[in-house]
Amino acid sequence: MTAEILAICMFPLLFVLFLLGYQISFALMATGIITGFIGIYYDFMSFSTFLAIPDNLWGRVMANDTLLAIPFFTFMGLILERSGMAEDLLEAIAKLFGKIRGGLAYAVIFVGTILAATTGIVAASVMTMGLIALPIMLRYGYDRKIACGAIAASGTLAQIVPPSLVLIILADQLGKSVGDMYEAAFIPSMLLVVCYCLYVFYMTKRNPNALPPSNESFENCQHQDVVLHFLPLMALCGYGLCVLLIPSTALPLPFTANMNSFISIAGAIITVLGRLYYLSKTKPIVAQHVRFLIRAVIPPIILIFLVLGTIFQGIATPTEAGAAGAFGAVILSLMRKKLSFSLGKQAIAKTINLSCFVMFILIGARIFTLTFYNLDGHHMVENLFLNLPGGAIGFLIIVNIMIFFLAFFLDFFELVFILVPLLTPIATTLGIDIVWFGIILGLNLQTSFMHPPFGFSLFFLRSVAPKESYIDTITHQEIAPITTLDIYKGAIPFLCIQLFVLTLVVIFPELTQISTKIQGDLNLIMHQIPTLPPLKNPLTFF
Amino acid sequence: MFVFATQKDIVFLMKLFYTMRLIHKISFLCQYIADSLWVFLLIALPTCIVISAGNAFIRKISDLGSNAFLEMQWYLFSAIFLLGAGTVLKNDGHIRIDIFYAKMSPKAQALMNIILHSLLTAPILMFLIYLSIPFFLASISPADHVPTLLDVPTYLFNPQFHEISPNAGGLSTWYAKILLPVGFTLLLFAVVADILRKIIFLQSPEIISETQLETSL
Repeated sequence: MTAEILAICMFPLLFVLFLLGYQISFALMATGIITGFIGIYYDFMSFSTFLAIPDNLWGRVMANDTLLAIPFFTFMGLILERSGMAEDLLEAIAKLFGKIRGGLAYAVIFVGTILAATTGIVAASVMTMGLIALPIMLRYGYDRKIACGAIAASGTLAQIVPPSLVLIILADQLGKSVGDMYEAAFIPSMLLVVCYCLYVFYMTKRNPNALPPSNESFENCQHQDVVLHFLPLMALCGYGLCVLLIPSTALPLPFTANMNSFISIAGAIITVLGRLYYLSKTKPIVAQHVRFLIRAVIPPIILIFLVLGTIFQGIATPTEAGAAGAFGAVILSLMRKKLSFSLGKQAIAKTINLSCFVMFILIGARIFTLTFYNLDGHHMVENLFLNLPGGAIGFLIIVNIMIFFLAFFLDFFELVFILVPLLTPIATTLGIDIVWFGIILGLNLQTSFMHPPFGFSLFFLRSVAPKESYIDTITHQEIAPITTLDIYKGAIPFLCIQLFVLTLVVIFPELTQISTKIQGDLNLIMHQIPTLPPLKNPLTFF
Repeated sequence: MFVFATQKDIVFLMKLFYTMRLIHKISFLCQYIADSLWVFLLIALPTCIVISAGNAFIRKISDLGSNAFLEMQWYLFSAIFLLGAGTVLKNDGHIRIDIFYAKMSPKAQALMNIILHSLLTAPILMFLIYLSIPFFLASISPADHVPTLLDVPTYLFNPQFHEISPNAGGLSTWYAKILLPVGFTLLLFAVVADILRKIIFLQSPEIISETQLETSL
C-alpha cells in the first residue's frame, strides 16, 4: 500500500459516512483522523502532523476576517425576513408592474434582485415571495410552473448578486479579496437577471394566457398618475445609487464621491418632499399612494448603500459592511415596530446555529485536508487533472460537470471547503484567472439550489406553497394546490438559463473583467476595496 | 384473561426505571453543562455586530483605530461557533446528508446516532481536546516551561508570560486559544448527552419521547 492509495481511500470512506447520515463536519474530522492514524501506522506520515491541528484551526478558521461576514449577513437576512420590508416592496412593485402582461413575474424577479443585493440569504427571499407573490399570481391565473420557477430562481439570485455568502466563502478559499469577487460577479449576475426577464417576455409572447395582466392597482385613482409622479423620484434615487455604487475614481465628475452622493441624496430628498407636499394639496389620494411606494422603496435603498455602497466606495471591508447592514436592518425593523425581543432572540439563535455548522464543516475540512496533503493526495489530484486533454478549457469543463453532479447531493459549503482548495493550485498552474474561476464556480453552485430533487430553493418554496386547494379571499374561487411536480417542472427552464449564463462566462472571461477594465481604461486606481489599513495611533485597551 | 406480573418482572421493571432515570439525569446534566454558555453567546453576537460596524464608522470619521477591537470581532465569533456547538448539536443543527437517513425509522436513526457518536465523535473530540490543551497552555506560560493543567490558575493571573498578538495594541491570545479546548469539551458533553438521550429513546420511545426529555426536569 502506498500513501496515494490511502489518500484515495479517504473519499469512499467519507461518502459512506455521509450516506449513513453522519453529521458532515464530524464525518470530515473522522475521515481525516482515522486515515491519519492508519498513515502513521504505515509510516506515511508522522504524529507531528496532528500536533499542527490546533495551529491550523487557529490560523485558518478562527483568525479569519472574511468568514466573520457569515453571521452578519445571516443575521441581516433573518431580520429582513421579519421586518416586513420585503412584503411591502413586493406589494408596491406588483402594483407598479401589475397592468403589464407578465408584470407579476417581472416584479418577482426585480424584488428578488433587490433582496439579493441587500443580503445573501436564499431562504428569506424565496419564502417571502412564495408567501405573498404566489397567491396573487395564482389568483390571476398564472401558469403554475412559470410562477414557481420565477420565484425559486429569483431567490437563488442571492447566491451570486453581491453581497453573497457563496462569493465570500469562495473568496476565502481561493485566497482572493472579496471585493474583487464582487466586482467580477456584477456583470454575470446582471446578465442572469436580464435573461430571466427575457424568458418571461418570451413566454408572454408565446403563450399570452399563461401570464395575464393583473388587476392589482392603486385604488381610487389613475394608475398612470401614480406612476408618473413616482418615476422622477425613482430616477433620482437610481442616480444616487449609481453614484454610490460606482467607484468614485471611475466617474469623470468634478466632485469627489462624498460630494456627489451627498448632492444626489439631498436633491432626491428635497424633490421628494416638495412633490409630496404639492401632491397632498392637489391630489391627496395619489399622494397617499406615492407615499406608500416611497416607504416601500427607501429602506432597501438605505440597506444597499450600507452594504454595497460602503464596500464599493472603500469605506468598509465586506465584513464590516455586513455588520453595518445587520445594524441597519435592526434599526429599520425597529422603526417599523416589527422587531420584538423574542424575535430578535430567535434570529440570533438561528444565526449562531448556521455559523456554527458552517464553521464546524470548515474545521472538519481543515483536518481532512491536513491528512490528505500529508499523504501526498494533492499531487495525485494535480497530476490527474493536469493530464486531462484540452488544457485549461478541458479542466474547466470537467470541473463544472463534476461540481454540477456532486451538487445534487452535497451542499455548497462542503463542495467549497473540500474541493476548492484542491482545484485552485491546478487552476493557477493552468494559467486560469482565479477570480474568473471563482465566478464560474459560484454560478455553478447557484444551480445546486435549483436542482429538482434536492434544491434548497425548491424546498423553501414547497414549504410555503399551498398544499391543499383553498378559496381565494378576493375572487372567492377555489384555487388548486401547487404540486411538487409543478415546482420541479418550473425550475428546469430557469436552471437551463443559469447553465446558459455559466457557459457564456466560460466562453467570454471578459464578462468578469469589465468593471475592472473600465477603471483601467480611465487610467485610475484599480482596487477600491480596502484591506484594513495600518494604524497610525494604536490605542491599547487591554 | 388477566396477566399477572411476577415479582421478578416487577423487580426488573423497577431496576430498568431507576437506571433510565439515572441515565436521564446524567444526560440532562451533560446537556446543561454544554448549554451553560449559551446566554453569553446570545449577547456576544450583537456585540460583535456593533463592534464591527463601529470599527468601520470610527475609521471613516477619524484616524483612530484599535487593533484590540479588530481582534475582538473574531475572538467573539470564534466564541460563538466553538462554544455554541453543543447546543447546536442538541437542536440537530449540524447538517447531514439525509438521502437515506430521512427514510430510516426513528429507532434506526437513534441507533445510527448512538453507534457513530460513541465510536467516532466522542473519541475524536477527546483527541482534539488532548491536542488543543497544550496549545492553550503554551500561550500563557514561558517558552521553556511545559506546564500542566494544574498550573493554569497560577499562570492565568500572571500576565507577564501571556502571549500577546503580534499586532500593535493587540489582545492576549489566550482569550481565544482557550476557546478550542473549552468548545470541544462542551461539544463532548453534548455528544454524551445525545447518546444517552437516544439510549432512553430506544428503550422506551412511548414513555419518554425526546421532546418530553427536553422540557422535563
